[in-house]
Amino acid sequence: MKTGTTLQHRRRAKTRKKVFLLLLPIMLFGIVFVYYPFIRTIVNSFSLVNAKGIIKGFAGLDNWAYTFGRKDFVLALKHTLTIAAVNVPITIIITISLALLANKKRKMSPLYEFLFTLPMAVSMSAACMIFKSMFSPSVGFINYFFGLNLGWYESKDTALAAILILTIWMGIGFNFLLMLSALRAIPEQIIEATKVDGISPLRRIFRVQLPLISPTIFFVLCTNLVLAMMTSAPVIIIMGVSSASSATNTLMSMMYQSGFSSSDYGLAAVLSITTFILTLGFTIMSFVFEKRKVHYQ
Amino acid sequence: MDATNEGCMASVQLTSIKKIYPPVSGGRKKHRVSANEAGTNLEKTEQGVVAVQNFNLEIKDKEFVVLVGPSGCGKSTTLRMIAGLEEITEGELYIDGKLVNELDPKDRDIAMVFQNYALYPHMSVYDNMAFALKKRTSSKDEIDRKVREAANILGITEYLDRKPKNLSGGQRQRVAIGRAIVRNPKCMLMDEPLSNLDAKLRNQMRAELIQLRRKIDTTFVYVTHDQTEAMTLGDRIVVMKDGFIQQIGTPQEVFEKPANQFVAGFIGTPQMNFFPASLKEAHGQYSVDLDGYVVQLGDEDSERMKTHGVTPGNIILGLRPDSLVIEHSSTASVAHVDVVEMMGTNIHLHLDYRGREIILVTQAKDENQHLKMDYEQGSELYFSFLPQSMYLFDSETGMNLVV
Repeated sequence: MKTGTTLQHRRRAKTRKKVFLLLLPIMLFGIVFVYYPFIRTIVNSFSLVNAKGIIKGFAGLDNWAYTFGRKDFVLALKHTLTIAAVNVPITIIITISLALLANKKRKMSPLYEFLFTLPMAVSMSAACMIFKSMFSPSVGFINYFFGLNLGWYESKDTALAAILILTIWMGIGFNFLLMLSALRAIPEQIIEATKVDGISPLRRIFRVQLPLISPTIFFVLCTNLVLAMMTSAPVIIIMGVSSASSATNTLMSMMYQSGFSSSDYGLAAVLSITTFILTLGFTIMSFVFEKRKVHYQ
Repeated sequence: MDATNEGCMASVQLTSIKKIYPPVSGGRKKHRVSANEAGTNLEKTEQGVVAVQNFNLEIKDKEFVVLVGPSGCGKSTTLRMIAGLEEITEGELYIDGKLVNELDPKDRDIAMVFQNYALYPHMSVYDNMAFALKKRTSSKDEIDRKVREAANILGITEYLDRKPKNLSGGQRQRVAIGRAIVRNPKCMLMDEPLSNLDAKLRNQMRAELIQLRRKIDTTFVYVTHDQTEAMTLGDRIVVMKDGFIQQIGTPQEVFEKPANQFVAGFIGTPQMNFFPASLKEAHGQYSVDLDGYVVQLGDEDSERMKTHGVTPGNIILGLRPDSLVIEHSSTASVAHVDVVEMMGTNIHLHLDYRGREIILVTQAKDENQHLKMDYEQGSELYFSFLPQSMYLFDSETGMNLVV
């Protein structure tokens, strides 16, 4: 009996060692690339950091007061929240509508499934360049086609809208695919039951189909919220440091500029943490929504 | 449910109904047909696979008609055409005397119960049943009354607040039926409603369906592949195979006077035994020769066959397992015992008769209540049969020669 338990102990210890060994690579990866930068950023936000990124002393809330006091911070915060507030609902509405249109399998289904998902295949920087030329006030296709005379990226009034159009377009492909597969996963007989029961198509969509794909809608909501809060690449690539850039600066693009161009690490850290806290808050809010509205089978 | 309510009764008439599934075209229909195609002989034309053809049936008001047949025979397709979920390629469909070929399902005033229940998983039992009513009826009280009435009939009142996932299979099926009956449809369509239940529950639900039918006086069209369900539930049975109707008749008619060999083999358990035999005629009297064992036909049958002009030759002899009689003399046909199945009251003997497996059903106990278990594997067993228990089929067309 005694030897048995020691054997078991030894075996268990052996397994434990093996578990740690197998987990080591991902743990190392996590520590180096996720947890260390995260904690370092928090520390930075409360420290005096020189241009080389070395901590020179404790700064208390100085970085925070400095950041929140800046005019461009308030603007960047406004832009970020606008992007999140516009991007997320519009993406969800567009992708659900497209998925509903493409739901029924027809002869040509593969063609427009392909067309709708195509934006996925375009890289962000390529898309930025394409949109920049499409929205060009002089030689751009958009102004010509719609008979407009807008400055788009070059005007303070329209730059943010043009950025939003680009980011929404970028997100459509993947989210459409998620919505479509969720819709197609609804058992055919449930849809047939609504037909026999005389449920109108609109009622069927809102009372049956949407509730049944609510887990996917929730997933799209969360991921897009985070992505929208992190919007930076199009702002940096298209707007650069032009005169209009202050019209579109987001928290993340401001962070990029302060951290990588100006080497103002204190400011960059505060911006990062602020964005993180806001995103976390929104995500928690959406989980409250999930409890009430999302139906899991 | 509410017999005074007008419109809760209807006849259904199908005239020369034909359904062709077009060949390769994207979509789910294609998959359904190709899945069914395996093992069936559905006719293929240039337009596609013919799933149902030449379907003529008149369902009377408040009648319970069962469509039965092996999978891929077109029974579900027919039901779905009545429901309006499947387009009718050719022919006319009347509900209550009104041509409904082009009507949407919602305008046909039918209700349907699906094999996998198709309940709305995110709604409570109550909402599942009330969902379809909300638009049709105006007052909330009336909806409430109807839902509770249906729940009461089906015995699901205590589950009204539950979600479908918290119900057992039998309870879910009751909710599905409840959802159909609250609407007081002209016609109830049921697509294999019991096949997802386990054997015990299926027997119980079958009995409940018979009771339910007494309570809600409406027209039923019921699809099943289970001949027991067909026999016990139907006023009339429609036996189908390969898209064609094989026979329409009451359960008794279909059992006693099968139109052809397929119907004879499909209806009745255990299955009817078939033997190649030869038909002989002498002085206007027919007799059947089963490998030397000759049985004279009754005068009535002989007379009927004579008027039909049946010529002697090779035929298929059909004998139900319980009409085979065990004999002790060697003048009878001889077979070898292969498998003995003790079923309680009866014993099913699987016999090897000249290389062909046949089944014989005999009482488990003799007159003195002693178990007869002296059947050993490989032992010889003599059997005979009575002339009136014979079914004779044409060896080529399979048609019943006597009816």
